Amino acid sequence: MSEFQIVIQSFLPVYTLLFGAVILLILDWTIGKKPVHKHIMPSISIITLIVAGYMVFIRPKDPSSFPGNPPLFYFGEFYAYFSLLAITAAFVIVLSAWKDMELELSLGVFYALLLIATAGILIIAGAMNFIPLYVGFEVLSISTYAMIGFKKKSRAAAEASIKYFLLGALASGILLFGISLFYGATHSLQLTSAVNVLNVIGTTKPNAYGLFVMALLVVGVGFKIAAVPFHVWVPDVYKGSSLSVTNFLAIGSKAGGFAFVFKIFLLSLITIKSGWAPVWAVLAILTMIVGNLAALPQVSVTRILAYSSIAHVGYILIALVSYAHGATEMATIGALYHLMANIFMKGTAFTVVLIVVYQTGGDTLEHFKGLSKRDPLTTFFMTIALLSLAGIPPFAGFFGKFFLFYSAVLSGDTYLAIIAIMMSAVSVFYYARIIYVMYFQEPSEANTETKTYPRFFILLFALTIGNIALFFGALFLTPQLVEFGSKVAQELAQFII
Amino acid sequence: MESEIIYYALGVVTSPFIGSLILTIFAFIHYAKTHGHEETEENNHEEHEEHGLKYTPLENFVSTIGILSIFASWVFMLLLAIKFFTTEHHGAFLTTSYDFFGFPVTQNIQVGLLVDALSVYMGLIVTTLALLIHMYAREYMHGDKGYPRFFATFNFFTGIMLSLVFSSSFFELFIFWELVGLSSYLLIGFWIFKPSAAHAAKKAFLYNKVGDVALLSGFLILYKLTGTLNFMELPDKIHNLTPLQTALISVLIFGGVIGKSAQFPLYTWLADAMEGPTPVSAILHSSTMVKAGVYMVARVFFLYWQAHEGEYNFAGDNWALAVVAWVAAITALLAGLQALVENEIKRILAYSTVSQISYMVLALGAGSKTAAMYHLLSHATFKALLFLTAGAVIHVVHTNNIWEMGNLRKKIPKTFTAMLIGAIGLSGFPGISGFWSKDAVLATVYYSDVPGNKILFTLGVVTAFITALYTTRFIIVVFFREPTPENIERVEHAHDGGFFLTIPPLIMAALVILESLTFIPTPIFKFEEWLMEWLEPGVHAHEVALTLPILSAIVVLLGIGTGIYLYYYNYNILASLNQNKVIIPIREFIAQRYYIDKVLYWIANVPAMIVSRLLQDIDIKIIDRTIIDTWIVKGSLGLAKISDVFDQGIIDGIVNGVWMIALTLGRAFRKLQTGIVSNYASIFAAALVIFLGYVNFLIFIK
Repeated sequence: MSEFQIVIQSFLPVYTLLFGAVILLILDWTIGKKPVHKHIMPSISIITLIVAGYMVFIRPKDPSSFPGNPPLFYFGEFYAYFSLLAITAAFVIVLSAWKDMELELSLGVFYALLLIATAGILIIAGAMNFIPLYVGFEVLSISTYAMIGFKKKSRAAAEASIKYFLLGALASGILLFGISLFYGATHSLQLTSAVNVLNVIGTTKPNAYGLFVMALLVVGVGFKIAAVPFHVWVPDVYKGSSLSVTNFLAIGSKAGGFAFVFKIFLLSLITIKSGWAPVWAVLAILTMIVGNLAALPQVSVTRILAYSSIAHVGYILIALVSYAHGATEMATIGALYHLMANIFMKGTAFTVVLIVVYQTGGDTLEHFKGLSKRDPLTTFFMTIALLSLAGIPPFAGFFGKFFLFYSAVLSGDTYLAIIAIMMSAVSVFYYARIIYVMYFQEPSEANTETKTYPRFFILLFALTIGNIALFFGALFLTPQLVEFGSKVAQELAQFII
Repeated sequence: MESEIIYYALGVVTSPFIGSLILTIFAFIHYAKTHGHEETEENNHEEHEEHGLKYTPLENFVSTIGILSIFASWVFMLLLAIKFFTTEHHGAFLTTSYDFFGFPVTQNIQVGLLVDALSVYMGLIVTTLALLIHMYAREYMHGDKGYPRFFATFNFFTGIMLSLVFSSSFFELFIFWELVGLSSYLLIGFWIFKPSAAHAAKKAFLYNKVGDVALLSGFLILYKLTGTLNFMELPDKIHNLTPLQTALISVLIFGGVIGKSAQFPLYTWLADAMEGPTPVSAILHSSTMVKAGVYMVARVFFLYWQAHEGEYNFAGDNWALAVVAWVAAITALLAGLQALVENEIKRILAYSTVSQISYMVLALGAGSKTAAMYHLLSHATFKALLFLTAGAVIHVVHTNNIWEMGNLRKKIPKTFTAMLIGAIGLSGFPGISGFWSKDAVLATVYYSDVPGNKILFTLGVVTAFITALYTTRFIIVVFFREPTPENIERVEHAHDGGFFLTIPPLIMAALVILESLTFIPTPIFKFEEWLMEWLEPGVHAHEVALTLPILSAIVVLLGIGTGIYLYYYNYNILASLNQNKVIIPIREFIAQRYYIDKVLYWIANVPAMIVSRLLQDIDIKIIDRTIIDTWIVKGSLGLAKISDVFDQGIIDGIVNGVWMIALTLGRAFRKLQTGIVSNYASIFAAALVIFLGYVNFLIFIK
């Protein structure tokens, strides 16, 4: 295979997504205004996603054969896994937005933005250089800004969009500052070029330069993944944007953000790991505590889920710390597994909120009262999602948390595991409150809507099955899982000289 | 060769599950189609017709799938057995196993298939009887609304039992052990509209659970001490334990048997379990659930007795064996007496099962795996036969009470023939299968080293007498005695069932006869020795004195004679006995199940309630009111408030402060000073400032 062929074949998933986006835009421009053609858009998006997923699988076998010295991309297992995450997440959003965005005129544009954002995640996951990494990051961010503000007539959406955009721009600025400092030190934008430049020679302690790079990058990515204290935008934006976009922020954008974080910290800055490990440990603790405690007094289910989302970021951050402290395999497994579990449980939860908003017009606990009497199936799926979020077996959330906490124990950061378990216990309170309200309280008189939506039902069913299947996958295929985790960990580690 | 064995064993275990899966999906679709009409007592069997048996297409499909999957399992089992018994290899094949949970804390917990003589022997019994009972159920359940559900659960149950038989470690066995409990719960409570069935299912489940706790703690201790749960590795590790430890573990494990195999004092659930459909009772009593306990003890026999130069010695302290043997002997006697006073035909058979299983446990306690498995085989066959025929009898006369039947031998000749053969087997009539196996058990006890073996032997002989007596009793009352006037009409209309109600029992009857012929010890072939060679290689059998079988034969004939005399020729004696002032309270005492249930309920109610009240008080007064209400709730509310204050007050305050600094620094941020976004951005800035300050601090330190 010539170099050209390798490049083309490696980029096929990205090309597919962008091609699908262009098709959608053209269709939207030509026939999108007629209501009869509404179903074409989601169908094309789904086909595009499936084809892109297939393209990921048939990528060139040897990722190190990618041309360039040093190569700008590396399409290995890490890339494949995060592509899968992004595509699965996009799939969920396509199905949930089908109804959500139906009233909007330019449905095709929305799906095009979604596909472009997915392409952004793929670029992040494959990049080995700060330039493509940053480009992917911005592709993801900018299409997300547009998606949030997509409901033009909604004030809340516009406000959320502009808020997210301004803060995102600020974070990007800080991030770029960090990257430029990195370039100044290493004279290279290659992720793996920071050997013996940022660290005190012979150790993994950062030197003065390394400390500045580290601080700027922590703040920059902290925003994207919403770690405390950079989380403040989350509740407002989640609440303001339309729910399927919120869903994307919680599952797709989050996976992209973490791909970005892992690329920077586990590849690029691994040489100064004893510098950033305590910082992330503190941030993880803060994130877990603030996320879980702030969720307690909320009455809006969207806000509860938003804070729970923050809390889950805290759990995943444990993986960074334990990775730095030596439990590389378990940390990798934990982070990858939990991001997948996150898609299933958060995807379900936000879709159910969407359904309830459609049925009753609101998303507070008041509107969830007696949901089981009106819509028992939806309630059942929501219950499973919430139990999974709380980390109760036999649902995927259990193993997600288990692997993460176990990695902390393995690496010797037992205090992180203890805090995480305590905070998990706190989290059960607000999850159980929703379940209690749904099952044991009478529906208020105004909310008697029992209309169900078959599309949502299919989506919820698939997500719930996925959730349970993921749990049993971890239970019965633990050796394979460990093997995969160590493969990814090795792939990350092979670049460290 | 070994790989073939793997495939056969896998086929045996998976076939029923595949059938069950198909049927479960089908049952769901079926109920969705019929809009989930709830089954009730009224609409159930509404289409049932006495004559002109016609299966609906649904029933045809469901029963075909159900029977075929069991048939596949049976064929695999035959192939496996042929392959296994024709090889010269006398040891066990651990065909495959893999680590269940790849973490360091759970090392050596494996899942796999263990194929050895014991599991092949047991698997053969289970599949053969399950196949026949499935065929029987095809007609018996005809017209029932829950037809697909029944076969789905039934196949599942069979699959679970086979998996249990082929388990390779205690861990795996325990999983299937619990699943047996679950599926028996589903089957006993199959008629969900009957409160009594629901109650019986619950009772069976809870009684089992009590034993399971003991079993669980037993094998966890074993794991803690030896570091493995694998049946292949355990025998070598046992030597490191002290006798006391071994004895403790073996008694705890026997606790599980008390629950599952219905031993004293947890045996009453088995009689209530008769609320399930008859095929369920048949499979439950013949080869699956209650035999699981016997099978497990045989599987871990090395915990009880250890072979040493061809002789068995105690594995632990001898009191452990005494517990097993004495519990078994007492259960055998009590349950036998119980069967003598029961009036419902299925309950008589249920108590008889308890009594016969106790024989097997007694044999295990006295130190012979062979005798136990020998009796298991003969009992499984004739008890399944008896249940199927009893089901057929109930099916035609629509009553459970033997006193409402009578003189049925002319009305249902095929059923009568089959049942008579089964009853002869059960009674231990000389020369028939039950006689030989029971004799092996009694001989084992007689020559055993168990404390008090002569008394145990006497109890066994007395039970043999009682067994013969109650067997004769129900046969005579059901088939020979003239019916009472009010029941004549009921009996008049009785007639033999259809093909599937009569053929499986007749096949089983043929099996009983075949077994009887096989069991006759001849100079060329002695079944017991053959079995011993496979199950306990290297152990020598005792030379049994001829007086033992003669004694046993005399006792059995005496029992049958007494029965015929009392219930057929001279019923007046029995009537006057029943009026006797001494007999009445004893009879009442037995009929009330020796007040075991009452005592157990009392234990469950009174002391447990006292303790739970106490705990409740502690819970409410101390934990709830003091710790949770005051400390935790207030504490976490306080924390939440603090965090809220922190979020809004301190962070915002810092933000504002920083904002003031930023304001004084320049006008660059001013444009963002619209709405809340500016605050958020300020937080970022503040955090960055803090970080950079921290960084500067670090650099300064250096």
